[in-house]
Amino acid sequence: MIKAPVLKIVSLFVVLTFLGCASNDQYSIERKYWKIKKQAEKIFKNPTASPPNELEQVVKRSDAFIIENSKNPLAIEASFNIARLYIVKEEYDLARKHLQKIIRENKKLPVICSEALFLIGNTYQLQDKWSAALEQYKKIIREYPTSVKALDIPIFIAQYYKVKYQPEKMLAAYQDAIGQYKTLIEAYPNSLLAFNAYLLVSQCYIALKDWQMAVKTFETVIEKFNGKAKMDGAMFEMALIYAKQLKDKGKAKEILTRLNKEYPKSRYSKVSMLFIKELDKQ
Amino acid sequence: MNPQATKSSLLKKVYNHTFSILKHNKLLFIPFIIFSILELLALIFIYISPRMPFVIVLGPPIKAFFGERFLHYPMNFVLIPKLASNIRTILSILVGSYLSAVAVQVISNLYEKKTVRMINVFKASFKKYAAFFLVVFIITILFQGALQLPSVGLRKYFLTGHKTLLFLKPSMWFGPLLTGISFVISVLIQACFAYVIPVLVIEKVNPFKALLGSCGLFFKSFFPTIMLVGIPMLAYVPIIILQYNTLFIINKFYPELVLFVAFLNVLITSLFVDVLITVSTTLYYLKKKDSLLQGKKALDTAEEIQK
Repeated sequence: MIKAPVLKIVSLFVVLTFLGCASNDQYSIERKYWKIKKQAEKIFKNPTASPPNELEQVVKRSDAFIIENSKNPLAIEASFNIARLYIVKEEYDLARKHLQKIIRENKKLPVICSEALFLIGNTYQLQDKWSAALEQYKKIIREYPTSVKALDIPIFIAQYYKVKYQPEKMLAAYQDAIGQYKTLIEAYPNSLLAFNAYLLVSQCYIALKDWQMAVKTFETVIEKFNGKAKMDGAMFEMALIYAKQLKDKGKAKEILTRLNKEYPKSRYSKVSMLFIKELDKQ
Repeated sequence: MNPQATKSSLLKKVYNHTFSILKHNKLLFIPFIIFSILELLALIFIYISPRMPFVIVLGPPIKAFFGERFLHYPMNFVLIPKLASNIRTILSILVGSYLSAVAVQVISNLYEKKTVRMINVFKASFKKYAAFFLVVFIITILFQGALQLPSVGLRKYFLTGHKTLLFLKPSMWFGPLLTGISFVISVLIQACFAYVIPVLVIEKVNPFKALLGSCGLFFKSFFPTIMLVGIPMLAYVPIIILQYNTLFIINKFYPELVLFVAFLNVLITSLFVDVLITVSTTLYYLKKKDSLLQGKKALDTAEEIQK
């Protein structure tokens, strides 16, 4: 015979399972979203071959999902997914309209607005309207300067000119980027944002092949942020510049030794040891 | 007489006897059904762990050991085979050891044509629970250790800078080959310790003697034991292949299919593989013991006649 307490525990388990599986918890929301995403994937994989009604269906299902779960972060993701679907189907006007709607509905969230603006810029870029795209990209820097996207954009613009074989514009874009990052550093000194901006400045100098300034920027960032953030990557890059570009092997060895001493468990540790051996051989 | 032919005829006898016992004694399935129910319950718990209200209790350990992403759909399905395997190991030590002993006792009674009263067998076996727990615990440690050896060896080999091993790339070694090697090791270890519980239950020796006795019999009857353990384990191969391709199943079909495979795994392992291995190896052990006794008796009689 099954005893009463066992029966109670089993009943409780069954009730909880039923309640859990029937409720609209985060898990069931994720499950619904996954199914929509799977349907959307078919269009992403082959946008030209997918029939128009498939796009309509996914948009309809996504809209219903967004309304039903408006407060869930996945609703935003679903909304961006609709915009991306319009983009791959080359429905650029519809994509921009949808992205503008996202911006209007999330005015107070810079991460979302900057991403939406970036995608608007992408739609213009896909239509070969670089000046309109550039306008959107610059709007991100102007209106949401502390967002991650705003940090990426200046280098993104410079790389566009590089791909398009416009070296003068590329150099000017890198100089602009340095200026923008330095403004951010001045506005938010000693912050994580400043730390990232310093590293991006050094990347710009590397792209400009201004090795002395790149090294100087790395030195500044190490001096200012050592102890607050991991510096192994910056140290390794600095050592590389000293060894390969400035031909100062002594300095490179000094930095690598410091890296091993301060960050013995770093992922650069083994490589830097080998690098020291290599420098000794030379 | 050809010893190989004797061995294969003994194998045939063992399998005939196994199927006959299983056909006529449904009681024998009880310990295996209990174990499979426990496993299925554990699987249900794993499946519902990311859902409210279970996530409150089960969420933190999953997050700590495997990562937060495994609490979300469909990534929780990636973890199901691993967690199911870990829980099976724990259940095997805690409950499986005892239930195997119960099954062996039932087989032994049936072999000796004694009447079987399940409740008495359960009670009698429980008295020796500590010994069963200890042997299965030791076997599990050896088993897990042996399974780690090839992957550790391969990792060390490829980390030292080698790009290929026997003309094959690391992706091949760490992929299907490692799974195959692990399967062979599983068969070997399981075969080596297949007679531990029968020796412990029937001979009533201490756990360490049982371990040694099982290894001894395995080396003496290497071919039949490998066959008795390996043949039923072949049924597990499709499951291994499916579980190895969990991500493929999730992406190409439905994540819920992973759960179905895990359920199938429990049913195949607990109600087919385990049943066949336990019954056949126990019968083989009993038959082997009988033939040895008969041989000894014949020798004694011959000596008496000579005198």
